[in-house]
Amino acid sequence: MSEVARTATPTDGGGMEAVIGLEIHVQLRTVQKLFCPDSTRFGDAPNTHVCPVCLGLPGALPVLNGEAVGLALRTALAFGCTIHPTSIFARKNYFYPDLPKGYQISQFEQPIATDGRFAVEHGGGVKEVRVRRIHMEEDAGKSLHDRFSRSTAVDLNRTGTPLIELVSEPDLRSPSEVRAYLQQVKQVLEYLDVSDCNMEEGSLRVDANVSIRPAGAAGLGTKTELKNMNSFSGVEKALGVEIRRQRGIVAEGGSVEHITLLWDEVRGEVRPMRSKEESHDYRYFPDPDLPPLVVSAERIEAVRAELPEMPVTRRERFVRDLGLPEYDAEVLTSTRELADYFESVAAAVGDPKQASNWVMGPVLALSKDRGTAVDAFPVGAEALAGLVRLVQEGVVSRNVGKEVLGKMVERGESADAIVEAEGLAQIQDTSRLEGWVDEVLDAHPDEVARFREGEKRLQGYFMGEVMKASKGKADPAEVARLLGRKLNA
Amino acid sequence: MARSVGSGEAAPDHFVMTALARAQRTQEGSDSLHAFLALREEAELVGRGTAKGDLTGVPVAVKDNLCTLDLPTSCGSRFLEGYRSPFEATVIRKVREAGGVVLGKTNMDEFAMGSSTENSAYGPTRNPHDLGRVPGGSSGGSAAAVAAGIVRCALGSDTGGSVRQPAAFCGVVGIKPTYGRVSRYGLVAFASSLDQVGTFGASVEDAARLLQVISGHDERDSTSTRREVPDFLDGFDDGVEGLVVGVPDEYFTDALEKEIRTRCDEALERLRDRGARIRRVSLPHTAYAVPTYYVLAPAEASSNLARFDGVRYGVRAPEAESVRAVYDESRTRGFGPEVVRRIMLGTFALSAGYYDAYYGRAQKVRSLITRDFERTWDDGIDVLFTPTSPTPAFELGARTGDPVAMYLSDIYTVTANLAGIPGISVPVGSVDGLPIGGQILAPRWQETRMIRVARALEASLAGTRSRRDPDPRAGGEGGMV
Amino acid sequence: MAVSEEQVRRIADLARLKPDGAAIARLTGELNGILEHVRALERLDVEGPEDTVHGSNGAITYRDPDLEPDGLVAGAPGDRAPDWRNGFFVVPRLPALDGGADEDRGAP
Repeated sequence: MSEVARTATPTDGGGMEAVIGLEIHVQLRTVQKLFCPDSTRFGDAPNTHVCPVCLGLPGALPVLNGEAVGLALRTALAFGCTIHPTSIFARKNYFYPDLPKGYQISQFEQPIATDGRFAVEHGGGVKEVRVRRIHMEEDAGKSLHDRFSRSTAVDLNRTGTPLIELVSEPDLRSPSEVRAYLQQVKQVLEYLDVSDCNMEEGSLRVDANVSIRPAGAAGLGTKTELKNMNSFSGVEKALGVEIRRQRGIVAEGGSVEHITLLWDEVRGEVRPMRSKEESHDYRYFPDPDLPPLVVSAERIEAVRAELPEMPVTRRERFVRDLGLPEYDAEVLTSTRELADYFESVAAAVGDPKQASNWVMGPVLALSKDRGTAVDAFPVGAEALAGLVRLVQEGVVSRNVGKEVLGKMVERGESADAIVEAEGLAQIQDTSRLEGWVDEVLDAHPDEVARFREGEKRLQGYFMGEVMKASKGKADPAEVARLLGRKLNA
Repeated sequence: MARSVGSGEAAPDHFVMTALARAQRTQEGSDSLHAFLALREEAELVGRGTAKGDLTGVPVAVKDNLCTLDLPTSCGSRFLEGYRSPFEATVIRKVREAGGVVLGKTNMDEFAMGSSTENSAYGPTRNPHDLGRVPGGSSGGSAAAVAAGIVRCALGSDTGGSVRQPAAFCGVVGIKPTYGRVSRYGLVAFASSLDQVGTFGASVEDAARLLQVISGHDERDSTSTRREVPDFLDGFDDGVEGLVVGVPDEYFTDALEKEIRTRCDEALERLRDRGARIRRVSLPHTAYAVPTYYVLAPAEASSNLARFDGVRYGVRAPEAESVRAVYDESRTRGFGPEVVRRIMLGTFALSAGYYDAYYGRAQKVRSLITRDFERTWDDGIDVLFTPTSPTPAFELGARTGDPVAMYLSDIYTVTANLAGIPGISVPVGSVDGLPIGGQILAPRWQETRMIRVARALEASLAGTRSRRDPDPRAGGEGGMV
Repeated sequence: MAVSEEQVRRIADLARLKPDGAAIARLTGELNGILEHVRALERLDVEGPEDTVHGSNGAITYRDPDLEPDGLVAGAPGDRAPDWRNGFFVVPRLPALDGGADEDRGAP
């Protein structure tokens, strides 16, 4: 191949289509490691979450974490996979300084689940991507090359963290489709609460394999493998570059070589991995330290019964049963926390559209200002519902309500308490309102006359004057009613 | 084994000190046994062994592939010279909690790969019965320590016969329990699906009592059974009346030395005299056991020994300037020739293009061997009786140049490891002054029955010489070297 | 089929061993001797039987969530390491996969 290929938008040159499959590594959010009781916590001092098992000391043995199996099962069911009653842990043998045992415990010939499917929405349509398999494995440690001048530093805190690898069939056809797939897979994983899905911390990692072929052809071209992509946009860009590179080769009459390529985010290039690093013969064989993993039908059904509602289903329900517009439903179901929050508010106020307006408007705006997700928003669903009810009942206006929400965030007090303490309640008493209305009309006889001659837009002027006179506390609806009656009398 | 403890006649560490003195004597001089790679210091042992339990005050010798906190664990390898484990094997903890005292670490073939203890990086152990001969292996140091009367009982490990064969060569009792009976946590792995910790005893009772202490489920070993541990001495002296003892034709072939066959026939005769029914049986896949074993065990070993890479522990070639050089040079320098041979063999058997023909095929043959045994038990056989080894202890150096000849030393013992069943070697006499062992094999989890038959054999030889000392904490045949 | 010295070299490479030329020749002979013996397995019909890959036939059990990590009470994880600095195990510089920055390679 040529030395490097530069970032560019893929063009649909030569009637060739891309064929892309993905391998997604997902760190499961267990408290302990997969085969030993060390913490999986990220970001601590190096080599502080290690024990004889994950250090690969002589004589240490692995014992399986049942929590990780539960999370793997949950994921497999959500992706429509067949769960295998018996699966086998195997050893994948290779030497690397951050792989203490000299092998990684993984699943090879008999993974926990196979044959799933996932519907991806992209470009206005829905496409089904087949999931070939989901298997469980342990993570490796980290090799750091910038700590010492001529040495590599090895941190084994991550060693043994549980992973699942979700392998798709080569059903994806473009970088943007891949991106949509990744975003929607991530959304589902978050709904399932099986992983942090944090790409910066490495809890979600993506490798791609890609080939090209004449559009519509049945066979597969020679694929290359793409690694080292640290974001979804990186995946999208890297695939674009690689597809273009392959098209260039084919256009010049060459043939694509089966190699592994590394994405260089900074330079926007793909580079071939050294051939030596590729010459792996992993010598997989069943791990004799771990008897077969047997999952009963009862266990599978119990996990299935506890599966949360998936984002697409929930979105459809919000539209169908709660009468929300498509757009609202999509925004509100973007994360499970947001959808849960919204539903609690909606249930408490009995008006989904009102709840949606509040959550999609002020709540998301305030969250964004604070740079936090909705689950860290200090005003709980019940408290927000309290505020929405005050607005519904006309105790405060919608605008005052927004101010009250800001104060609730700052002070952690209830809407009632703030409205009470600051005297923000609207005045609805007809005699007091009539007093202000009469005062304003009496003070502006010219305007009244002009109004009566047809200058109806002066209604807003009178309204503003009445609100001013009441120091903003008059109930605008009632004032409008009174003004209408008196001016049109 | 603690019957007389507390009667006030001796401090609890008296027997430990006596054993230590004996051990130290056999380590020195031109006639040394070299059974131990490391011994505790006398000062460390003062007041030890007071925990109340089945081993109170009993000194125990421990094979050097079991992790101990107070002594190095080298596995007989240069790679782990001076290595101190930060954790102890579950069996060691159990011995300690029962009041036993680890006296020292015994010599072994490097990483338990061998049948003579000549593959130790620290020099061979010699057979107490004939210093020109090997003690067997790989747990040769533990067998020799018991045979020399230093201790009454010892721990070893048995992957293909590494407890039973040296027990036979040294004239002591050696038990390999059912796979899963004893925790492997802290046993440095050779071949994980075959390894079991086993026990040596100066008598069947000694070996059985130590086995009782170390058996049982361990949360840290996924392959250890949750079954309740029976009393291995239940019906210990009830004899063999009515038991059906199978004698497999395939274990009595031309490979078996004639005199050993005679000793075995005599042993069977004594069992018959005591009411056992003897039946010839066939285990047709026996001849395939050694080839199967020498695919599976090295395959597992090649992976198990990958952790010895010079990164986190062990030797590192100091001049290595690349990670690749760290691996290549540390491993090449740290491993002896037999370990290299087996890693090579196992790597080959698992490699692309050869997996199905070697590892895959061997797995299936392993099933056939297991089925042979199951059919035998289904046919009403209670236990099997076989020789433990086709020859008595051979001379030092006799087989070191011929790996296949060495591997065939395991011909009668590897089957039990492949099938996961328990086996015991018990002395059945001698040939030209060299001890001969008979092996009893039983169905999975039937150690109690196996031990009862072994006891009957032992008792049937009694009178020829006494094997028991009045105090169990004392050495076996005190100072016979 | 016998293994060649070239194959033996490749196996040694996989196993991270570096026997010298004489050792390669010796190992080739020894491995062929052992494989000759192992070849007996080819005579058997292995179509029927299942694989036996474990020492016993039980299923896996899950770890007690209350089990604590074992050992290492007495010191640092690097106490036995040939090169341990600032809390890291240290090896000669590896070629970084992405040109020098921290490599977050993860499990392949």
